[in-house]
Amino acid sequence: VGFLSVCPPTVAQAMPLCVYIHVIIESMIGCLVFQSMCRTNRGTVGGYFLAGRSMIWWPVGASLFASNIGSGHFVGLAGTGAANGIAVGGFEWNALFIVLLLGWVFVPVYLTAGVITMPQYLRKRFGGSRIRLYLSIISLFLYIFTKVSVDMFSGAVFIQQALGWNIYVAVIALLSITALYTVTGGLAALMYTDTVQTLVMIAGAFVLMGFSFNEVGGYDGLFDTYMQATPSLIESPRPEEYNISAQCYTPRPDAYNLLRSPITGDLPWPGVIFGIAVVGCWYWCSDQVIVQRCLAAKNLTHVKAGCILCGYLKLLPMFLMVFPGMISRVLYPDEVACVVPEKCEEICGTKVGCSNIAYPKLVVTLMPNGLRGMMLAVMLAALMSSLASIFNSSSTLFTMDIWTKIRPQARDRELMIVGRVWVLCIVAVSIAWIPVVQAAQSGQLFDYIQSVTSYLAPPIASVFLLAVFVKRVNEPGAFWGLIGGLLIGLARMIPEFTYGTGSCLFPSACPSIICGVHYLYFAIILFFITAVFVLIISYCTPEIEERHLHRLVFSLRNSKEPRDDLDAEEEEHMRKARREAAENGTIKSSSSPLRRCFSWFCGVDSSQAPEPTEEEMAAASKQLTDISEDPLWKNIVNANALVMMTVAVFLWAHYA
Amino acid sequence: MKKTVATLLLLLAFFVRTAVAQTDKVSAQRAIPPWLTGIIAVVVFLFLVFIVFIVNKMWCEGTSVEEPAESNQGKPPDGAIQNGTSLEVVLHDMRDEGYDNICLEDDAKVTMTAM
Repeated sequence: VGFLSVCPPTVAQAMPLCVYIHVIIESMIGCLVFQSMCRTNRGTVGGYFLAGRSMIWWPVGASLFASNIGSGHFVGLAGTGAANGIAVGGFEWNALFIVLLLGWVFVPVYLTAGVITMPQYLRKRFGGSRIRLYLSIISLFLYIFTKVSVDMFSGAVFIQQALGWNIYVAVIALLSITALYTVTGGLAALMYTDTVQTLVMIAGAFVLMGFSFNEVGGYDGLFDTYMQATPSLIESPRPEEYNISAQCYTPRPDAYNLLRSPITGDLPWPGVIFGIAVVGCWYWCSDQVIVQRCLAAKNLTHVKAGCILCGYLKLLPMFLMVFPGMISRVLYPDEVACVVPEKCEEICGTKVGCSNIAYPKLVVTLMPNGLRGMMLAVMLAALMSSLASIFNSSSTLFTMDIWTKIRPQARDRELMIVGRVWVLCIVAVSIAWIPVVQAAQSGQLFDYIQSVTSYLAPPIASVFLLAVFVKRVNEPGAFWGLIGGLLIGLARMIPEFTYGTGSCLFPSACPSIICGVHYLYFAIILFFITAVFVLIISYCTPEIEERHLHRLVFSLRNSKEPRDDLDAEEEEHMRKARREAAENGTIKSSSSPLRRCFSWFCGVDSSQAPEPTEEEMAAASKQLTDISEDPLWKNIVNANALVMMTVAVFLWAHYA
Repeated sequence: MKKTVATLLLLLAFFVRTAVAQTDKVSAQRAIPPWLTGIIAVVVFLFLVFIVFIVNKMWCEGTSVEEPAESNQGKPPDGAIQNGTSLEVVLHDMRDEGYDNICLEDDAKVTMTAM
């Protein structure tokens, strides 16, 4: 079904190979989905949201990578690389260290805590319900308006450039296919398909990289010619209105440096090292999409190995996306590096600049016909894997954190259905978001997204870090820290959006006291301000006793003592409500075959298991929260992590 | 605690290295070829990891030397409580185990988490 909407019917030669590739990919995906449908028990919460806690390390690692890398990376990294040089690769290479932080520090705590969602962890850690609600809502907001819109925008840019098709048709088809296998399969299906899509993405991107380097004259050829890649049209058509200064169209002198001047650089090096680490801390260590994949692993060693695999894969985007973006500028400077607004509008439909078309341009002009179809498959793979992960995780958040509050008596079956319905709701919102994406196709959407994340995520990262490491932090401290951080972030975000970010030719009118601070510096400042708030308020209010904190903080992660759950009352209330509902309700047997078929397809068990007793719950949670590791494998994994860090350090220093 | 120390050390390594890189750039463009900068950074990094490992080992050895003395003192009180709840004795044992585990675990961990 997918290939018919996507293989270009106009280019006759492209059709057969494109079709073959798509048939192969779609049938593999179909097989995997079917197999996971039969294998994992998708009818339970653990089965649907956490893949039954049975995944081994390589689907975990591949899924982490595929969930992270979306079409936004292909378009955004290449575009920024074309415009500003290699520093944007620092976003990717910073993640190598953050992903180790995730596997060694955060996931053990989440596992022993026995939680499924991040708001649930905060609830157990702090008690009270307002933090959980706040985090769920702001996470859903950030997903829908940053991750989904970026990936859809980039996918749309690519499809427009490559095929010239109507955005609505293509995006609706994409979203429907993604929603279909998210709704039916659950996390297990997603993680297996992510593995296939990772392979497709990497293979395709490697092929394009090979072609690009061949065209530009090899690795040295790129670095010899990039500095001279300027467009030919550099005169302002209306000199009385504006003049075009040379710096707007010549490549930056520090384009080959990963670490740039702290004052004049577009990505200053303290920002690149620490600012991206702060935002990365939110994205990798406290965000539902990523953490959920780690929680689905068999045991802690598999988590760590998966994190290492993801780290190694994160080395690739610099070579697969940033360098080809720069090559695109060298090969097509008049289009990619256009500076006159009218000319840019002609080329890519937006006045600000056309660097976003760097990657699609390479695909369209450089690749032979058959391989063009394959690259399209690559982009679709990236887009679908990211979107599917976001759909699944937001459905988890909504079901476990918001729906259970509205209806505590909801049992597994109802939760499953609600989770699936929510995915459909999100798809509808995403489709409705397309006009906004089109209107904002000013080439600045990627910058807006980075800024939004830098203004809203640091308080969350700060609270999570403190929650895990500092026992003294309590509920009022965390809540008011989050609110304070949010207000400060909004105080920067709203003026900046209303004034607009401007461009090189027409700088923004935003006063420099607000907008002068680089967004990465702002992220660092906000992180520390929030931390100070949280600590001050925590020390002024009564502390949480240690009996509530066993296995919820890093220092107590191995503690075997019984924990007095702060949310024990609410859990008991929910279980009672569910038991009553089970006793009062009649057991309906799915009589009609159509109903049974529907139930099986959606993975909903028609026979509801009886509510477990307290002993069964205790035994089950003990098994799930076990973080012991086999010593031999533990040492192997630790050694591997050290090797990976060494490689990362070498590459950072090499390109610095 | 040890992990935060290790993290801080790694960040310090970065800081030092970038400062070095910056001054290199300012003084002479091609004085040190990039691959050599990379190797120097790797050597510095591994050296720091080694130091953290040594410090951690000495620290752990320090506390584990005191451990047997503590647990010896702890034994008679346990025997005294014996006629009371056996649960408390079990908890005491598990707590001791817990301490050992933390030390050994951190020990092995620090070899790679100098981050």
